[in-house]
Amino acid sequence: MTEGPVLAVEGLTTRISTRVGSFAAVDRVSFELYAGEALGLVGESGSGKTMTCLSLVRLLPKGTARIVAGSVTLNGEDLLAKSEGELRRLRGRQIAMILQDPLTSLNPVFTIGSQVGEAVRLERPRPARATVRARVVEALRRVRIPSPELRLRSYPFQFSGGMRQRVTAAIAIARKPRVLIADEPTTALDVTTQRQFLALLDELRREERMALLLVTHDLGIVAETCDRVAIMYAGRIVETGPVERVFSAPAHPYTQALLGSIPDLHTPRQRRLVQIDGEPPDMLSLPSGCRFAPRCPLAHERCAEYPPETAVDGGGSVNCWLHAGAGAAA
Amino acid sequence: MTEPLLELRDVTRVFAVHSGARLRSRPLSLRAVDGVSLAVWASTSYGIAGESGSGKSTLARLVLLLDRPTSGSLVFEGRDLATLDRAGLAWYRSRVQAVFQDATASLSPRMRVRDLIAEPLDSQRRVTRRETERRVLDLLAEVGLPERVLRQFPHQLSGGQRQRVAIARALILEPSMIVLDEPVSALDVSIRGQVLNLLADLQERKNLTYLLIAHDLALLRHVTDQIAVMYLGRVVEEGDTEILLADPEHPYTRALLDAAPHRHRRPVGVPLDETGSPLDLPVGCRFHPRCPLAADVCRADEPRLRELGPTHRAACHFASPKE
Repeated sequence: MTEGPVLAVEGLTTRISTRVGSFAAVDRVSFELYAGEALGLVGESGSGKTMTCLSLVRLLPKGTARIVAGSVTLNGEDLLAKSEGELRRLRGRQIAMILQDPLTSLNPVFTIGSQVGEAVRLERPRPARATVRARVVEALRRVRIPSPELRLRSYPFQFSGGMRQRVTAAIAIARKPRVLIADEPTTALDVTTQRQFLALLDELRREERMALLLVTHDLGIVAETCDRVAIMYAGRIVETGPVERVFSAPAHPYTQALLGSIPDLHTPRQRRLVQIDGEPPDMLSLPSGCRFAPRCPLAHERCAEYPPETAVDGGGSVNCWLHAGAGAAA
Repeated sequence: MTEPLLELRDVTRVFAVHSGARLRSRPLSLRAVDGVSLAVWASTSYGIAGESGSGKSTLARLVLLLDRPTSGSLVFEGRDLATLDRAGLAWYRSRVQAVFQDATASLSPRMRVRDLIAEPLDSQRRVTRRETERRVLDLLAEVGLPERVLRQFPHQLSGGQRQRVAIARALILEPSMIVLDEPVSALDVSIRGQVLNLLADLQERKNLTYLLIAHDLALLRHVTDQIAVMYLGRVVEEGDTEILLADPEHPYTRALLDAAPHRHRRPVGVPLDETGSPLDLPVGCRFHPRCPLAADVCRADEPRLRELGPTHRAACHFASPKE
């Protein structure tokens, strides 16, 4: 396919100012997302994955966070150059987002029908009442809410957690966006409910050729639902690649340790897990070189300088000196 | 050993709840824990798995005496917990301690680390101040915290450090059993391994018994000896962790295993419908509305836990005994 990416992010840098200082929560982040593709963005709390998402839709907390460099191109249009009014028209239609906790992202005093309808009513020219209703019912049916016509007048508290999350998905897909960002969409759900919701995202992506950016800390979810993965650590992407390659041959010591430290149902039972020593870094006093170096068992002098991006056999790239000399074979 | 350290005999806890819509409606009874019997042996780890609404947290509260059962009994070191007097309660609380999921919520934000760790000991007023200080310092080293954190407040620590403080606090009375309620699920992935390994080391060194409550079967598989899978208040399968997870007999256990995200394969099986409501239990087996094997017998009779092997029990009409 010669079609270009739906979403292209280049050198995105977002700084956060706090009383004690400012730092780049998102630092020179670049990636591309194609139609119908699912990219997993993996990182721990504070690694900058949520800030990356909020930067993409430009919904950063006002006054404290600011995009200072880079570009975000959606269908060939520069998102960072848009006015607030233009952005409002793009959100929902071109790019939409699902948040972690459906309970806080739904308004408890409005019906499900009116909240899904709100997204539809934002369209210009404004659709007729009957059209709005029909589109809401269709969106609820798409996310498999049983008897949607009867559920329009229900309130969020009358729904279970999994159903609520499906309502937020219905809001996000009501206008058939090209890009769907899901930020930890299943963290608040039980495993069996999580499985259903992931299956739903997968189906929407395939049928609508929607591009999915799935943000999570759970590598298992990425392995199951994504085509490619990007691993973030302390604001930077340290490794990217096709899911099969990254999981079978992780290149970055952080990715390796992350994979080793997760209890698995199918590896031999062990009382002790691989552990990553130390703590995630303090963003206000980051090391000048590789940010993982202070916790890395393989760190050496060169790590005092930030490693270049190096291609990896089997696809993708890594920022690590262990690969910088030998790599570039792909 | 002939007797388990902790035994639950037919424990039931019923709550009266008002349904959401009408405030004046007659209360419904919610059977959060329903006829649970299990035995935890000294120096082992017993895991309780289940999704939300399974009753696993209510069970933990009952074991910690934060709540009392509606019927049934809990027996610890041969003593019925319902019969404990003041002195008996003090004794029990020094024998059984807890570590919860969220150390930010379980540690008082206004107390310094030294006081947080020493508080259980101070409240028992049994040792000298010097002895208290010695034990606090020893424990600090054992859980891998530097001495400088003693003067700090919880908000000045990282999530992993806070959980270490909670562990030290649980250990200061030298208990024989610790109830661990989702001890690592609030922590970052890279920190979980550290805390789980610390718990494993402490168990070995101090001969501790763990009652570990978690939704993550993969985690339970690595750190427990025995496991009970709960569904809507009932234990549906119980047994030796390794045997049970390698060859589960209850369709719910199988569904949980299939649903767990897995990094080496794509999902298998049909996703289950959502958990039923504990307020509206079906007749027959509680799992039958979601069960791929459900037959007429499942809609009529609720299966009891049956022995399938020396260390394996399941409550399913279709479970087959093992050789």
